[in-house]
Amino acid sequence: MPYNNPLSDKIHHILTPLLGSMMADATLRVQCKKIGTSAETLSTSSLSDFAKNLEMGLVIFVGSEKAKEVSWSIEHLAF
Amino acid sequence: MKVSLMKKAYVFWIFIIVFLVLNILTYYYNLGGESLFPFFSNLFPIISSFLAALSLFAAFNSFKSFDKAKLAWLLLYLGILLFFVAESVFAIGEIVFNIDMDKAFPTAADYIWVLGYLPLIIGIALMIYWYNKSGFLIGGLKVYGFLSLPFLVLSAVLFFMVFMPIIKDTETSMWAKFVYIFYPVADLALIVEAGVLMYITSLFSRGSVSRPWRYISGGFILMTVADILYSYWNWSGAYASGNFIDIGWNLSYLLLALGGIYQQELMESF
Repeated sequence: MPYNNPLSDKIHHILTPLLGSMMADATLRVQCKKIGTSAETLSTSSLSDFAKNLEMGLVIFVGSEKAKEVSWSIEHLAF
Repeated sequence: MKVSLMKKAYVFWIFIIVFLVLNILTYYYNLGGESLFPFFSNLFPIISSFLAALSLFAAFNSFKSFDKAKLAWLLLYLGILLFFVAESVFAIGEIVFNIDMDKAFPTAADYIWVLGYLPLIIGIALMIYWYNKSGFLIGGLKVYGFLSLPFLVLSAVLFFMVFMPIIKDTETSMWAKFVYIFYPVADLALIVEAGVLMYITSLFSRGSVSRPWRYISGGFILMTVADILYSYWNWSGAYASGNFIDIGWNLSYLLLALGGIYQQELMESF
């Protein structure tokens, strides 16, 4: 799922094994919209909010510890 | 650990196939004759429900913090544990005390089954509710409308073919009527939840987080179909232990066990 944004590409790459490609794309777009941005314009300054929202959703599938791990790996894409 | 759990799922798939073939052969050829066949037909559900309870407990235990996910798996485990106890009570009644448990309906086993439904229905309902709040894709309203069609048809069929004759039956006690009707009502709730869950998991295509829930929803759908057939056939006197419906129950337990194994695999994959 190519985006005009390398950051979104990386997030999609992290999420795909967990959510499947279609859901990873939809999640990326929905979560971006929630924080007032888009997959194309997502920047490192919004990563923390993005990761926190995603973490809340992932908890029901993998529990809070593992959701935090995924969230952490996304948050640290900025570094 | 990752490799051993993948191996566990693979071995369990082989076990399911062997167990299923053994079930079909036993039921089809009435293996063991009059003396041993009741023993086998009561032993299979005990084994499969025990494996389901064990696997669901391991899945519950694979979560470190007590959060939403752990609570949902705990409720599933408790429900299936009660089903295992009910299967065992049923078998003891039939084999040890020589009681025809289907004719003695409702028995202690039925009350335990009734109790077992509660955590299962609540557990899956919570899972769907939380999913709804999670921000993940929910799917189109049209699909839910389409999914509700078979539910409405099934409800109408159940109402006219199962509920009405049971309610009108003057020879059946109030308690027996309650349990006869509780099963299909609880099954209807469970099949709706499992149907929604199956649709949600289909949205994830090959995503690993949804794999356990695919088997859990498949197991519950199979279980409820078998239950609904049982309710009607038992009330009309057409059911006897060792019926082919039993294979549906046994397989449904094994699918639930597989769901538990895949959840453990998912938790170990990080």
